Amino acid sequence: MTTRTLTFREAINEAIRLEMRRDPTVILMGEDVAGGATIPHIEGKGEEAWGGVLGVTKGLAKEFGRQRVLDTPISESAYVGAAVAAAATGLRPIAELMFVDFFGVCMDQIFNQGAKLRYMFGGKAQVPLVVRTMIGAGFRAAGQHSGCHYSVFTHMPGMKTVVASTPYDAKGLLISAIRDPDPVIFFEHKLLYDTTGEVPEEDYAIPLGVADVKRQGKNVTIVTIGRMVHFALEAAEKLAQDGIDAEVIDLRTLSPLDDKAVLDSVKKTHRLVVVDEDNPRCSMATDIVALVSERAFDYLDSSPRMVTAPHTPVPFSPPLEDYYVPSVDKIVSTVKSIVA
Amino acid sequence: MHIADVNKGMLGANGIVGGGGPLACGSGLTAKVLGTDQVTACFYGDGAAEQGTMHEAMNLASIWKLPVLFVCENNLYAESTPYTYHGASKSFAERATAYDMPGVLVDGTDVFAVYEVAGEAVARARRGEGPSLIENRAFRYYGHFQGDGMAYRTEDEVAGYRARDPIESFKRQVLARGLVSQAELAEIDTQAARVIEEAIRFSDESPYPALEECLTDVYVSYP
Repeated sequence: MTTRTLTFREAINEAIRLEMRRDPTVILMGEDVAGGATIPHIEGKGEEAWGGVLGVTKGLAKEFGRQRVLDTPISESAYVGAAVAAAATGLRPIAELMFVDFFGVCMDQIFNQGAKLRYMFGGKAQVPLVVRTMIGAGFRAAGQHSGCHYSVFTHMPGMKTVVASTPYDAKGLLISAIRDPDPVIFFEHKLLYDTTGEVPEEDYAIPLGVADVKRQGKNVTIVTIGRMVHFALEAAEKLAQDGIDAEVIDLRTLSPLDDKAVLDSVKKTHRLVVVDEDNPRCSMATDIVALVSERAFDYLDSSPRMVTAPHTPVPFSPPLEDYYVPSVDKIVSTVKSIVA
Repeated sequence: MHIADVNKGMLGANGIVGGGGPLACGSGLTAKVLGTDQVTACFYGDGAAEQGTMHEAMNLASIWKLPVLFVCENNLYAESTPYTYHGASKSFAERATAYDMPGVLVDGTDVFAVYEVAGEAVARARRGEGPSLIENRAFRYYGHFQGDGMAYRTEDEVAGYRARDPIESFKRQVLARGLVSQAELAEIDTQAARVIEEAIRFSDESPYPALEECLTDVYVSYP
C-alpha cells in the first residue's frame, strides 16, 4: 500500500475522484463546485473558476465534465431535493451544502424528503445520497457560516452522520458514504482542510459506525468529534505530564453510533469527558452522557463532564470566537476536576 | 396522501405542499445523466405554486434543461383561500415566462385539451429543450379535508362544477365522435368500481402490520 502525505482537502477530493472514476452514476453538484459555468474563458476552455469555495473539488469538472460536476444556482432546496430524487431514481449524487448553517433553507428536502422517503415508502426506495457540508468556528466568519449543528441531523431517523478528523479518515469515510445505500451527511471542518496526514493512493472504505480509539489510556475516557479530536489529543499529552492517562475516542460516525466503543472504554477508565464543538443542548455531548449514564452508571467513579461551545451562536469578534471554541486548557482542567 | 410506487416511476404524493418540485428536478436529472427518454411530470396545486421550492425548482429545471413537466392543478382554492387572493399573477401559467419555458393555461376538465398540451410538453422535454409549465384550471367537488364545511363556496358554485364533470364531458365527446360505445363505457365504469371494491376489501381484510415493522425500513443497513 503506497501512501503519501495529503491535506484533508486533497483527501476529500481524491475520494470523490476515485468514486467518480469507479462508478459513472456518481455525480457532484453544488454552488461553485466548479465555478464559472458557461463563461467563455472558463468553461469554454475546460477550466474551473474555483473548484469549490475553498478549492476542495478542484479539477473534478476538468476530469469528469460539467454533465457530472454541476454548478447550481444558490437554490439549496432545489438542488438538495434534486439530489434526493436523483438518488432514489438511480444516481449516487454528492450534493455540497456550502456551509452547514444553510440547512435552514433546505431542511424540508433533507428531513421530510431525503431522510423519510424509504420509511414512508415501506422500504421500497433507497436514497444513496451524500450531502457534504462545511462546519466549524475559528474562521472569523460569524454566526451564519460557523456552526457545527451535526446533532440536528443525527436526531433524524433515516439519516447517517459522519465527521472525519484526519485526511486518512476523510478519504475512507467519504468513500463509504458514497457507496452507502442510505443518505449520509458528511461534515468537513474547514479548519482541518490544510491539516496533513498519510493517505494510501488506492481506494479504501472505513465502515460507518466504527469509532477510532486514538489514544489508549486508563484514567479517563475523552469522547470527541472532528477538530476537537486534535484538541483532546493535545490535552491528553499535557495530562500525561501530570500522570493522568487519558483514552481518546474519535466517534467518526455520529449515526450510527459506536456505543460499544464508548461503553467499553468507560468501563475500563470509570470516568467520562465529552468534548464537542457543537452547542450543548440536545447535542452529541448530552447524548453520550445519557448513553453512559443509562448503560454504564455503576462503572462511573465521578459524574460525567461536557466541554462544549456555549449555548450561543458563533460570535464574530475574534476574542469571543476563540472563547467560544472549547480549548485544550478547558479540556485539561475539566479532566483534572474529576480525576483525583 | 402518501401513495408511492418508485418501481413504476411514481415518486410519491408529497405530504409537504411544494415538496415535490425539487424532487422532480432529481428524477429529471437522472433521465438526463443516464440518457433515457423518461420525462418527469410534477403535479402541484395552486397552493403549492406559492412555495419558494416551486420557483427554485422551475428555475433549476430550466437552466439545466431537464425533461420535466410542471403541472399546476389549479382547483381554485388552497385549503379555503382562493387563488385570486393568494397568487399575485393572473394565472400560474404566465409565471413560466420568468423561467424561460412555455406556460400554457388549459381547461383542466377537458381530457383532449390536456392531452394535446401535455403531449407537446413531453415532446419538447424529449428533444432536450427543457421543462414546460401547464396550468390545468379545474375545481374540486369535495373539501380540503374530510369534514370541511366548505363555507368558502356557495351551493350554486358547486352545482356549476357538477355540470362540467370532466368524466361525463369526456363520455359525451367520445360518444358523439363514435369512438366508444355506450356499452363499452358502462363496462369501464363496472370494472373501475370492481377494482375499487376489491382494493377496499383487501384493505379491510388485511391484518395490521406486526409491531416490529415500526422499526424496519428506516435504513437499508444500520449497524
